[in-house]
Amino acid sequence: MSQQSVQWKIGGEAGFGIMTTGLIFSRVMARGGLKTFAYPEYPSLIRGGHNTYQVTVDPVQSTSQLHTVHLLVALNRETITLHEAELADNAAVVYDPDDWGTETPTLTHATATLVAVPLTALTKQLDSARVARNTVSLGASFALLNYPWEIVEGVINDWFGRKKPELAAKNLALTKAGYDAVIGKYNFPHHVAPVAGAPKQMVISGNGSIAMGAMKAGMKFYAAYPMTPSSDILGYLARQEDTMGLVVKHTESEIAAMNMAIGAGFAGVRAMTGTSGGGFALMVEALGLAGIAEVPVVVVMGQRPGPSTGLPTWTSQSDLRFVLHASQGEFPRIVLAPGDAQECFYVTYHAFNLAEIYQLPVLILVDKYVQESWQSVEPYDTSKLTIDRGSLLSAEQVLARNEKHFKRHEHTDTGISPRTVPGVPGGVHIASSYEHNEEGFTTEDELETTKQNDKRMRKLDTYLMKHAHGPQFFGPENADITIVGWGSTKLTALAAVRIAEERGISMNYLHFTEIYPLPVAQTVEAFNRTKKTLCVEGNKLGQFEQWVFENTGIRMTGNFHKYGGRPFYPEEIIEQALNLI
Amino acid sequence: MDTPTLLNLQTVESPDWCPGCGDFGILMGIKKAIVSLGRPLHDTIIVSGIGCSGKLNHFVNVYGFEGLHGRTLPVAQAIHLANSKLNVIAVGGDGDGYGIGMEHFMHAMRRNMNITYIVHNNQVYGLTKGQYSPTMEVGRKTSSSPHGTLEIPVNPIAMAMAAQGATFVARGFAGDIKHLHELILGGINHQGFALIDVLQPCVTFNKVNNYDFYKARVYKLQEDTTYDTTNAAMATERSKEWEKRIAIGIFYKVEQPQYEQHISALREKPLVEHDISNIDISPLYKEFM
Repeated sequence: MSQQSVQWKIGGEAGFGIMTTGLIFSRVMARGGLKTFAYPEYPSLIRGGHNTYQVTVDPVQSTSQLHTVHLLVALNRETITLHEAELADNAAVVYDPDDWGTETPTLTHATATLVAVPLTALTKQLDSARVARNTVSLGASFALLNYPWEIVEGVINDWFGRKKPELAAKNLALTKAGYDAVIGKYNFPHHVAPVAGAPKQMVISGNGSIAMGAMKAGMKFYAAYPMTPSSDILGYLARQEDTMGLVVKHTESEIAAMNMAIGAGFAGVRAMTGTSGGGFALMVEALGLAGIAEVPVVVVMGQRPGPSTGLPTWTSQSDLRFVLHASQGEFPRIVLAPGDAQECFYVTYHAFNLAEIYQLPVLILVDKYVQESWQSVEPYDTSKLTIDRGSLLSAEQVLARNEKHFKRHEHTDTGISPRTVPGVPGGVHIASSYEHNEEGFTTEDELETTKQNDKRMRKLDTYLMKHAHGPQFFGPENADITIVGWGSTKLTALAAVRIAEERGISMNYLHFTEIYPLPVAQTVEAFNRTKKTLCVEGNKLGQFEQWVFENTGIRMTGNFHKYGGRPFYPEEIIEQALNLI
Repeated sequence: MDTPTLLNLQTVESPDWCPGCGDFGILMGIKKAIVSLGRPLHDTIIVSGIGCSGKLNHFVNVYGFEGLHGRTLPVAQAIHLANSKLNVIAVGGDGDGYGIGMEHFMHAMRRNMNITYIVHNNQVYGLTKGQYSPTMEVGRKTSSSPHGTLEIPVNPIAMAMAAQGATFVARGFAGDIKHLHELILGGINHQGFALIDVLQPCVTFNKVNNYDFYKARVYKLQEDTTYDTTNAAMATERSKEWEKRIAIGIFYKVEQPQYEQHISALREKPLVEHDISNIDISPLYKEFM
C-alpha cells in the first residue's frame, strides 16, 4: 500500500444510504484537491444484504481500492465481523452503540481503536429518520481524519441545497453533530490534509464518463434495456434528454435496442446502445447486420461474471472472446477497452468517429469495476477533439456522382465506400442483411461475394494504419517485470506500479485499450521492450493472453487470474509479480 | 425526375416470387400509394425483415433497409425518430411480425409513432417451404405440423386493438389492389401508427386460403353504413369473422398524440439535422463537482 493513501470504508445494509454517503465522502476529499477512487460492492437486491463503499484518498494518485482499511464505518454489527481482517495498523472503527444494546463490540486487531458514535441518538435528537445515521457517521469520519470542516460544509450545502435549501441545513446539522461528537477526542494517526492550489475536480464514474464522451461526440440517439452494470448510462442520458437534445429510448428488449441503434445509425444519427453479457447475447444477430450493411453503431458492453445470470452486480473480464467472435460469419468490428474514467470519456468519443469513418460496429468493452467506480478527475479537456464523419457525403457530393444507382458498397482501396442517408436526393439505395453488390442489391455471385467480404475486412487494415496507436507503457522503462493488462486492469496496475516503486521493485505496466483488431506491429515492438511479463486479467482461461499469443506468437512469463467477481488488488499483483523473479 | 411514377419506381431487381403470389398485389398497392402521395423518391424508406415479404423493398426504387427476421419495427421506429421528415413504411410477414417479432409489434403500437406497417399475412412460412405461421387455423397439416396445428391462431386486428395504442387498424386483400392502394395511402397519411394486415394468398404452400377462398368471403367495412371506425369494441368483434365472411377496410381510426410529440429534441427539427460539430458539455461538469 502506498504510504500516502488513506482508505475509508462504510458498510451496512442496502437501504442505509451507503452509496450517497460514499459519494459525498469522495466529493469532500476531491474538493480539497485530493485524488479519490471509490468502489461500491452490493448484492443483487434492493433492501437488505451487505453493501460497502470504499474510498481510497491520496494526495498524488488514486486509481484502485486497497486491501487495508484505515477507517471503517460500521452501520451494523455485520460490517465489523466481515471487515475486521482488512484493518490497517492504528485503524479506527466507527460504530453505533445502539446496534449493540448492552454489549460492546470487541476487536481482535492489536492496534485498532473502537470509536463509539451515538448515531441513532444524535439522529433522533435532530428529529431525523434513522437512515440519516449515514450523514452523522460522515461527520465523525471527517473529524477523525482531522479534515477541515469548511470543505465538508461546502459540499454538503451544494449536494443537498440543489434539491432543497432546508435539506442542506438539516444535513449540515447532522454532519456537524457527528463531527463534534468525535473531534479532538481520539488519537487517530491517519490524517488527511487538503492539497493547496490543486485544480478543480469532478468525481465521476466510468459510466458517467462514457455518457459524457458520447454526448460530446454528438450521439443523439441512445436505446437500451436496463442491465447492470450499464443501467446508469441509460438513466444519466435520459436525464439529459431535454438539455442536450437527445432521444433516449428504454426499449422492450436488447434486441429492439440494438436494432434501433442500427436504424438510427443508418438514418445518419450517431447512435449507441449499452448492455451486459446477457443483453449482448440478444444483440448478437444484429451486430452482424451492422457489419454486413456497414452501419455505424457504438455498443457499450459492460462485463459482469457469467455464465448466464452469473453474479449480476460484481465484476469480470470474461466476455472478451464472446465480444471478439460474436455473430455468424466474418465481418469487421473494432473492440476498445478503456481502463479508467478518462479513457472511458475519450475512447467513447473516438468510438463514434471510428464507427462512422469505417462504417462498422465499435464495441466499448468495459466492466463493473471501471463502470461503477468513481474517480476524481479534472473536467475533461475537449479542445483537441474533432468530429470526423468519414465518407458521409453531402447532398451536393451525392448529386455530383450522378449515378443511376448510388454505389453504397463501392469497391475501394481503403475498403471505405461513399455513404449517404435516407432523404438525400440521388442517394437512393438499399442497406441489406443479404450479401449484396456495390449498389446494395442482393447477390449470390461467388466473385462479388468474395470481393464484398474483402472490401469490408480491408477497412480494418486501413484502421490499423491510420488510427491504431498500440499499447501504452506506464511506469519506469526497461523494468524487470511488466504487468500486462487490458481494460480495468489498468486501475489496479497503476496503483501496483506506484507501490512497487516505493518498495524498490522494478515494475511497469503495459496497457492495451485496442483489443480488436490487435495492432500487431506495435504489440511486438512493445514486448521487445519487456523482460518478465505477468498477464493480469479477470477470467479463468486467460482470454487476452491467448489472444496476444494467437496474433503475435508471444508467450507471457506468467499470469494471474481472478474470476470470483472481485477486482484485483495492487498488493496481490505485486505478490504474483515477485513470484516471477 | 425524382417525382415517383410507376416506371421510375422500378429497380434493376425483378420479383422472384411464385407466379400468382399475393405479394405482387401488395407491391403494386405500395407503389401506387407512393405515386399517389407524390413525395420525391428519396423521401420514402421501406424497411423490411426476412421472408418473401422481406424482398419487397428490393423492387421499389426508394431508400430501403432489409434487416433481420422479425426486427422490422425497431429499425423503422428508429429511422422515424432519427428523421421524422421521412415517409417510413415497414413491411413484414406474418411469421416475421406476429411470430418472432411479436414483442416489437405490441410495443410499437403502444408508442403510436407516425409510421405505416404492412403485413403480408399468408398463414405460412413460404421462403422456408410451407411451415405454419402464427395466423394459421387450428388443425392444418403443414411440413412442421404433420398431425395438424394445435395452437389458436393470432388475430392481428384483435391484437392491435388489445394493445390499446394503435390508431389506424386496417385489413386489406392482395386480390383487390385498388382497395389496398387506398388503404395504404390512408395509412401513410394517418398521423400515427398505421397497421395494415393484408390477406395474401400463398399459391404454393397454402392451398386453402387462396384467391377463391377470400373472394367468396371478403366485404368492405366502409360499405357498411352502420360501421363506426371509432368504436374499439366493434372493431374487435368484426375482426373475428372468418368462416362465413371476412371484413376488409379500416377497422379503427382515431387521432391520438404521437410519441415524437413528447420529445423536446424533435420539436424544432429532425434529430439528423442537429449540429454536432462542437457540442458544449461543460455545463454537465458541475453536477459532479
